[in-house]
Amino acid sequence: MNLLTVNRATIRFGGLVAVNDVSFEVPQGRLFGLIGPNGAGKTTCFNLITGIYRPTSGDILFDGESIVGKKPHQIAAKGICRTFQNIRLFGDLSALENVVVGGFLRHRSTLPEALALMPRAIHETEGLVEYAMHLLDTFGLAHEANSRSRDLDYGNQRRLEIARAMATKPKLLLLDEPAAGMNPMEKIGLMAQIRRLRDEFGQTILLIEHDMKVVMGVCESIFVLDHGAEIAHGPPEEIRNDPKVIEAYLGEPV
Amino acid sequence: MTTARIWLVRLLSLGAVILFLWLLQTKISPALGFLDNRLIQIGLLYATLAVSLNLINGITGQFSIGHAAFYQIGAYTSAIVSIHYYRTGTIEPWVWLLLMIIVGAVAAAMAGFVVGLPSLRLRGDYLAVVTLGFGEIVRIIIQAQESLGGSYGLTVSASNSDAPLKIAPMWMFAALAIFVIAVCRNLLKTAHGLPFLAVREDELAASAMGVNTTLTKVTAFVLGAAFAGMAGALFSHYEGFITLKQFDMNQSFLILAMVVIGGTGSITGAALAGFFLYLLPESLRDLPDVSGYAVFGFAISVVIVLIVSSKTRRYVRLTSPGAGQTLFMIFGLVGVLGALFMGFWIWSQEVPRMTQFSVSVLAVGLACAMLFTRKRMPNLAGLGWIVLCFGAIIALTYPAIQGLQSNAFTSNLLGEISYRAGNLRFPLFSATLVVVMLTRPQGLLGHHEFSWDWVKKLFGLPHKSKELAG
Ligand SMILES: Nc1ncnc2c1ncn2[C@@H]1O[C@H](COP(=O)(O)OP(=O)(O)O)[C@@H](O)[C@H]1O
Ligand SMILES: [Mg+2]
Repeated sequence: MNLLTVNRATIRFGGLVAVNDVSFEVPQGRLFGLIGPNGAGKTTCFNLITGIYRPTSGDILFDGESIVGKKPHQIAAKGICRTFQNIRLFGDLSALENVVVGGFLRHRSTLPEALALMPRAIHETEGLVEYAMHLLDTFGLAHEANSRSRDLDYGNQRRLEIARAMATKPKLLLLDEPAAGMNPMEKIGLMAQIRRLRDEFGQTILLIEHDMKVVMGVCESIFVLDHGAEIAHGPPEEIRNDPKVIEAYLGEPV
Repeated sequence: MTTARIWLVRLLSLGAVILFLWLLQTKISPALGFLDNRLIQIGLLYATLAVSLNLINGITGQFSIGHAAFYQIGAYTSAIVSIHYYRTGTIEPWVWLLLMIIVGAVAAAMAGFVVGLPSLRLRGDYLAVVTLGFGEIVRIIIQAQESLGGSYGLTVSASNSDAPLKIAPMWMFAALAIFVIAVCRNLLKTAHGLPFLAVREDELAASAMGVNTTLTKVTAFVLGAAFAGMAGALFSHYEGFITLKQFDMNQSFLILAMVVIGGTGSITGAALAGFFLYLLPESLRDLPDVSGYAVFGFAISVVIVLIVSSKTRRYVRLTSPGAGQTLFMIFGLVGVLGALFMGFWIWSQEVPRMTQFSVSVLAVGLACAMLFTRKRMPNLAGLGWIVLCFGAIIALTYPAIQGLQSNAFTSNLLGEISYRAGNLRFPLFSATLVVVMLTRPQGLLGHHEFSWDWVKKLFGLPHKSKELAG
């Protein structure tokens, strides 16, 4: 079954059509790549899916239900969570607190219970902290748990963003250029980690990546955007030899 | 923690609070004079107000600067209810006052809801303008209402008497401050505080992580306003007479200054700043008169020393060990001894007990922080630098005064001027704010909170590392 269906989505900013009549489907359990040159409209696609922008026309279905017009936090609650291309951590909060914010989405205790410090709220907090520590550990960040997230180095900040998104227990994880700014060694490590998320936890992932080589290595399905419109769609072998893709990435080795 | 242990801790702390309130009411308060009682009571009210504004401004990051309006709504609403419905002798005064505090909280919370709504669309300075405007609207509406006393003020009395109602006991001020601080602390101690902090840090990212930012911001406004409304109700039943001036824009800015100085986001900082920043100008009331020469001579030397010290600061090695650091540490020691001497000497002066007490506490605190903490070497050297600057200011003031007196132009201008020190307290207060903001823009405590683990860490004792911000 398709977890996410984007059906002829279009968004205009004044005269600019940033995403033009784009349709694709992300099946359950798939690692799906979204690529294209700079300014192609990839991030805008994410903003449409997560409810930050509303499509000018078209529909987006998640789990068989339209999510167009829903607020970002409602969409997050339905099970879509993302990372940001330009890292957006909660800078003054610790790495641990950042992850707990993600985990808090699934909380059960009420605000009055917390204000009165009732046992349920305390136990829930303890559970969330434990879960967050576990996630930090998975991403190799356990030793940085109490560091202010703004003070982490670049690669760790990127990993922390993924851990924070994973804490919401998303059905669909959107990663916006998670390897940007990393050196080749770090990139390989991160891609292996993303792969593991899919293989071990069955996580469905939609991955934006500028670096074609990286995407080819991990994704089983790739969608190529250029100037807001689809130019190719298929498994990596097909994409690699597609003349339109080669043209769009003019000069860049594929 | 097991549930049984949580309840045990709860019971013990509740017992400790009740014991403290009882001691305060029956032992400490009667031993102090009227003025000292008043300083403590109003100081506690300001601590409450600062902590409540900190919830909106510091923790949730919504720049609201009309906080006195909520304080005012609580004060006037509860006063009107008392005037109409309270009959002396029918109900215990403190029980009635508790009811009025609830009335004030509800009225202010509704106002907080209304003011919170624009915060959903407005950010930063725009929101600030709206909240400021709201404060003025409330004030003007009351001014135009004769039934609310208009600009003359409103006597809070029972329905069967004309005498002003002054029924707020000391313990209630402390209880309210403790209550508000505890609620805010609890919020940050559990995961429920994190959405508020997340909204402050990055609203868009927070909403993408599933935080309902609308609900969070409005909740912060409603809670913060309700706390201020409680303080207002307590205040009106303490004074027995309320006027518009007690809730004007100056009041809003004073509360805001307390939050900023304490460290935006720190409950501990807001509470301490609220209490002591009120005490500071009040303690300066009885200073002797000073001449215009002295004031301007002092100001000139402060400016000179600030400029010179900021230019030379980077050549001074305060943090790396060496001869320079040792020299400054000696100055620092002089500063500590001087502070301790002040803390001792103040008890021989004719000033309120509260002032004597605070000066001593601050002096001992400074001495402990300087002498026994892990980073004592650079800290002491840093203090030495400040002591040196102070010394330079005092040394420069005298020649500056002489210069002003001998110059025909300035002596014409300043010769006639003499300042009542009581009127200088607010300029002094403002100067303190400026200095704090220049030297520590994040506020005295930054985002830090008081905790025993923090104290242990400071003094190099074994401690457990913190988990959540709380
Ligand atoms: N809020 C906006 N207003 C106007 N133009 C926008 C907005 N967001 C994105 N765009 C434009 O849409 C195009 C696609 O941007 P983006 O999705 O960020 O590309 P990328 O594929 O590099 O992530 C760009 O030309 C960008 O300038
Ligand atoms: Mg992008």
